[in-house]
Amino acid sequence: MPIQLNLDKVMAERGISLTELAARVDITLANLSILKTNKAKAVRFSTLEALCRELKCQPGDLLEFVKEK
Amino acid sequence: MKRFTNLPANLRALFGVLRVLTIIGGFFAILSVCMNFTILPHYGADSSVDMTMGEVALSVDPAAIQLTTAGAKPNALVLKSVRATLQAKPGSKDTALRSTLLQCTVPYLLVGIVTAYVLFTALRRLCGNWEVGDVFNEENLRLVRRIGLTLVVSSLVKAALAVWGAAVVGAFLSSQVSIGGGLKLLQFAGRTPFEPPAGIMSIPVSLVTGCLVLMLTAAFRQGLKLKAENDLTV
Repeated sequence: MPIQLNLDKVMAERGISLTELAARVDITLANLSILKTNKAKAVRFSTLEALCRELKCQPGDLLEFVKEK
Repeated sequence: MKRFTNLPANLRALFGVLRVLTIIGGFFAILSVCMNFTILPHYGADSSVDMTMGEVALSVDPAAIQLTTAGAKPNALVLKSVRATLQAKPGSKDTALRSTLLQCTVPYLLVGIVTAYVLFTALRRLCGNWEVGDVFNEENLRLVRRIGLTLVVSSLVKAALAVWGAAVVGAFLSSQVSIGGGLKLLQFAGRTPFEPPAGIMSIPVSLVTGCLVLMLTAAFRQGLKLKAENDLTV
């Protein structure tokens, strides 16, 4: 998919673990793993809002458009 | 109490029982055919069963039936034809009769057994998956499609067998049978004196049901896609 989530990059910058973020954002570890591995087909605004709030970033920091070859 | 109100579990049990009954019934039906057609005649014993070959249409005296009401006009009610069921002893020494009887009963019997087994197996597995709450998955999609295809194919095969059986019995009747008692065989399409059995009219119902199930398969596939997308929406 051309839209990529840079969750792992932002998490590494903030030094936060997957388990801790899942607890703070209140989503399951499995769903957060889907986001981190770029398998997600869609992200709810509420999830994006919670991620931005906890990671103190903008949606643009998490989402990136990558042209398909 | 919950045990009795669990619909998928009850249906699964029902289809399981029906499948076992199909196997047992099929086994005894095949055994009965073998016994009556080969084993009993071989030992010179008479078979006690009568097997239905099909139905025959006979023309009768139109005046055999009359209206007795006050204002009845002549020929207001006439007897056009009568349908009768032909039954024969499978253990007959007559090779033509035995051959005809075998041809018009055994294929129908086998199709019925195979269809029932495939349907009940698929329905039982479907209810099993439903019972554990797993409805939209690839296996269920395959099972629903199999049910639809089985219904369509079996109805087409049964229709073909009914017409073929009618032709076989028709040929047998016209060459080997004499009819008395004022009865006369009706000509069917100018070729055979045998009409397709009345049961043939129930075949389109099975065909339409099969097509409906295949249409549901398309809806099921769409549901599967939506579920996959929903599962990957975070």
